[in-house]
Amino acid sequence: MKLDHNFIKNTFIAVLAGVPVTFKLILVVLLFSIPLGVVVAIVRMNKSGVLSKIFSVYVSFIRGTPAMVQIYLLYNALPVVIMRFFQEKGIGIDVYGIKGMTYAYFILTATYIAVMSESFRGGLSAVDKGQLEAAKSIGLTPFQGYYRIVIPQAMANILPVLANNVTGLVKMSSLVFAMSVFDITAIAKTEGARHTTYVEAYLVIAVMYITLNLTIELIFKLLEKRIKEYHAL
Amino acid sequence: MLELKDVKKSFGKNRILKGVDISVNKGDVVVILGPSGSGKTTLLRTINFLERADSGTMIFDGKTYDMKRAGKKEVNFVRKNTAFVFQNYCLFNNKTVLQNVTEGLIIGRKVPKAEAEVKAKAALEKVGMLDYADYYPSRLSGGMQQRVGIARAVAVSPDIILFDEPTSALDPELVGDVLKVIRKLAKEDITMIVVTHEMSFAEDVANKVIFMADGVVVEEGTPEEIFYRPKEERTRQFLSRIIPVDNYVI
Repeated sequence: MKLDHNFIKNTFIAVLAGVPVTFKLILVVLLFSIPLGVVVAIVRMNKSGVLSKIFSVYVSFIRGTPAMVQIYLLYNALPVVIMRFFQEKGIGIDVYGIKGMTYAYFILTATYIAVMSESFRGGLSAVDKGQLEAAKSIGLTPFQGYYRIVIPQAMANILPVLANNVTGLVKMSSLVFAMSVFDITAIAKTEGARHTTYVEAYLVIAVMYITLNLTIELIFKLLEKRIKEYHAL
Repeated sequence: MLELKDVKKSFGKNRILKGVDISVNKGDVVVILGPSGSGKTTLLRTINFLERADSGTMIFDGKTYDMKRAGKKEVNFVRKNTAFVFQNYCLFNNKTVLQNVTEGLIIGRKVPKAEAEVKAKAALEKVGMLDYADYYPSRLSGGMQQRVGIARAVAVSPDIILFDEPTSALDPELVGDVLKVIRKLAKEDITMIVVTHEMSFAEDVANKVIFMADGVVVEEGTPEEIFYRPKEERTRQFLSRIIPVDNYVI
């Protein structure tokens, strides 16, 4: 088979338009899912309370269902739920005016809170509990103890896992075409359909995903090295 | 300055503290002795609220606390005026030696950074660790880490320092350095409660020895009284097992 080089070039240029969408998705989802994932992990580690049980069910749900199913389920269920909610409050809202991108942010974040919390739970429990006690004993509040002492150490422990999560998120972001968001995968798909040159179109984005993920891995490797050198953890 | 009344604590069905009373005056060096499982460490931890007692009253700096129900503010007040030295040091691994000591000042007590560093350096000087200010804990020996742990406690000028078996995780040859530091503090009239198995240290430094077993205070008195004229059989039993007999030759 012969590849259409000219088409590859044109698709590449077309797909570039989707790059900011993919980047925005990844950054926004990380921005929310990392801190919220830490909170879920800490609540679950303390084991007591209703909240801990709710989170536990929530994490099991996310872990036990395919990402595609979560997207279809939430994307179809959310508009109805939102509409009902606002109708009861007597506020008129145009649910169908909410953009696919908004749903994408919300659904991927919801999924990734669960993914991140599981990683953090491992990382946090690897930190000796004496660290938090020592922090409390010198007059730090539990929040300060976690924020300044425990979490930084947990982060250093779970950098490799975190790298895995981020590259996973990059790959998962390709599913948002199901919510009619035009990320690089969605653009490649339509370009390929228009000229029936699917192989070339998908080849272009495969290379883009690999490049992005290799870069992420490299960044994490450097980060890890830096932390090991300075903190000698 | 510190008084505990009828402190009780259980872990599950296991009753660790069965009603303990102790009192500590300003400048006292109180040593708590006892077999493992007697509740010494738990008692120390309840003072700093690292462990919540099931019941009991604490009078500290003239204020009375319900040890079970003390609120966040009360707990924080007690913690800010006491300091704790841990058996396994518990230095902050992600902070340098200097930062370990300044943390409680800058974050816990809102002392300006420059002032905190002066205080921290003085405390490190006192324990002989100033030369290692920029090291991370993982590069230090156990004895050095514990000396930093003591500096961290001293730096916040607490009313009382609680030592939880400060030398029992150390190699025998490193114990001496740490004890020397604690002795020095004792001479400066810093109030402290020390849980330890170091008998000669207890004899030299303490002005009050408390012997605990099975969750109660069996006997208390001066080192003289406890070591040479113990009243209780349980105390005698314990001491005979732990103090090397001079004429015992292998």
